Amino acid sequence: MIFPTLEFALFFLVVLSTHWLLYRFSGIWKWFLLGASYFFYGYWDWRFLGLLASSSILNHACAKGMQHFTGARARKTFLVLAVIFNLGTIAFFKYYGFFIEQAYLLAFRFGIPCSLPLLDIILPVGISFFTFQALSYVIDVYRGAMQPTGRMLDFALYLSFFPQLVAGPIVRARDLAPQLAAFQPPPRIDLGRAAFLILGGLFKKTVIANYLAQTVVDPVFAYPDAYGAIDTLLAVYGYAVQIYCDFSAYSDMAIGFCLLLGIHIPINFDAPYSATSIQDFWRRWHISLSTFLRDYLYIPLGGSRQGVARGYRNLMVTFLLGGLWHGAAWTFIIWGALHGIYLCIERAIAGRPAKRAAAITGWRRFGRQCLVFNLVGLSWIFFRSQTFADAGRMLHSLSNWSSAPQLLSVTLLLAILAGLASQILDNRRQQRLWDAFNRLPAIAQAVLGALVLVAILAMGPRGVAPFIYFQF
Amino acid sequence: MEPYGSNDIGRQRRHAEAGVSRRHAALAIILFCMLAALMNGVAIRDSVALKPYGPARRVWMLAAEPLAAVAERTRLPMLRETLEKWFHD
Repeated sequence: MIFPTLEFALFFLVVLSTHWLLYRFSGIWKWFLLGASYFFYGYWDWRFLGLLASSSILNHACAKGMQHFTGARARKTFLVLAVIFNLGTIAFFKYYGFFIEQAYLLAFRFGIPCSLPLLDIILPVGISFFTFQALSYVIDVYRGAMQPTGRMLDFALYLSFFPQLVAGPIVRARDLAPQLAAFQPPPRIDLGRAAFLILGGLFKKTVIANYLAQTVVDPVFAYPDAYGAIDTLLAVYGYAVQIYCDFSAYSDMAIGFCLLLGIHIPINFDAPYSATSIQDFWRRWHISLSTFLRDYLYIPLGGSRQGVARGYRNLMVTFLLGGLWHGAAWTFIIWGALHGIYLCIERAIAGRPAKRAAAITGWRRFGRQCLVFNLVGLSWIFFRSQTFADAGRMLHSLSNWSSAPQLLSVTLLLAILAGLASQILDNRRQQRLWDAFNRLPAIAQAVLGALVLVAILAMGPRGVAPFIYFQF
Repeated sequence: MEPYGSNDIGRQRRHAEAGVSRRHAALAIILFCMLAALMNGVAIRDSVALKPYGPARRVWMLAAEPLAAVAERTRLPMLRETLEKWFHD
């Protein structure tokens, strides 16, 4: 069940109305939301419901164990157990095939006979997201940053909460679990923000992302040799906009649906292509992942406090693993490595550029934004390509200036520009629109919302492609 | 350290109690759903008709056909049809 479908619309309406009818009866309300979340997840493949349930049981048991046994050794044992379970699960489902393939290739190169079991493993949707949420919970409990949730039900509901279950944001337990454990309905519903997030997300996904994918990105990335530099450049820029519109659309809609349910989850994107440095970019792109990697990997490794060389090493390790988190392929690792290298160079040249970026204005600021966008665009080539050879062909096509453009059109340029223009209208500037919408009478809000919905559905192609981040 | 940075606009707006009352929100959502269903009634029936044959399709059609019939009477689906022609032809 994906967001922009009739099935989800009906599902959400049932959940929304029942949620507001039941919220006073805490016990029934929690079981209802848990059941709805499991139904949402099981709609893809019911066989993985067991994985979600076992992850809830084991992680909560470990957190409770840490609370019960106060000795440092016992607490660490429970933490290690939970980390092994979570990383083991993700390693098996996501990376088993990749590592077996690499082992075969290595053994073949050195002439070693090798016979490892090849398994046809289906990747459970959203595994990377809910596994990281579970990790954040057990690590925070271990660090004393939060207490374990009172009941297993509270943790199970946090881990499976449907709006952000399959493609994020990766909401920390200490932010979401207390809201679900003791639901306090907000006195007012931010309908303006919810409507803009949901309808804006729908527009970004069904109109911009789908159009760019079909028109330029998929054809050029499939056969880069058939296109010249201008078409390839359009495909690279198109993909930069497509992945932003696709992924931020999911996050925006998830936040919007949560707002209607009276639950707050933090933003995941903050106009990333307006970044003036790569560090700034990572403060704006997939914020819940970048802060997760910062708090649970980069800082525990030592961050930048143990000398310059170790700081660079820690950055590279963090981004290589961040790349690998996205998928079991060398192209993702190269993508992560490129970002790690960018950050190392940036730090070597300018110290902490993000701190001074706010002081840069005018054309210098615009120049830096263009540079960052192009560097990020270059890394997207590896991210989008199926193989390393495909990425090489894309880079080669970028040097082919003799072929005339085949795909260049006004609509295509408008779609790319629309995606980039959304970076100017960041969250703070949109507030005026949300507040204006909130001031309208209910009938006007309904008519306006329905008209915008019809216009979006009429503009977009029939059928909706799955979100890119579902594969992670 | 702030887990999500300092730009969490949602938290600021929640503290400022921005928005509408729950009753207002419920009314707006109910009206929106009715209007949206009527404006898209014919398109909903058409997309349901494309589902693979089976019990699920039959159930969907049982709901979609009366909706489309009512929608056609209101002439509200004409807006979407006009826009679709304008954008795609």
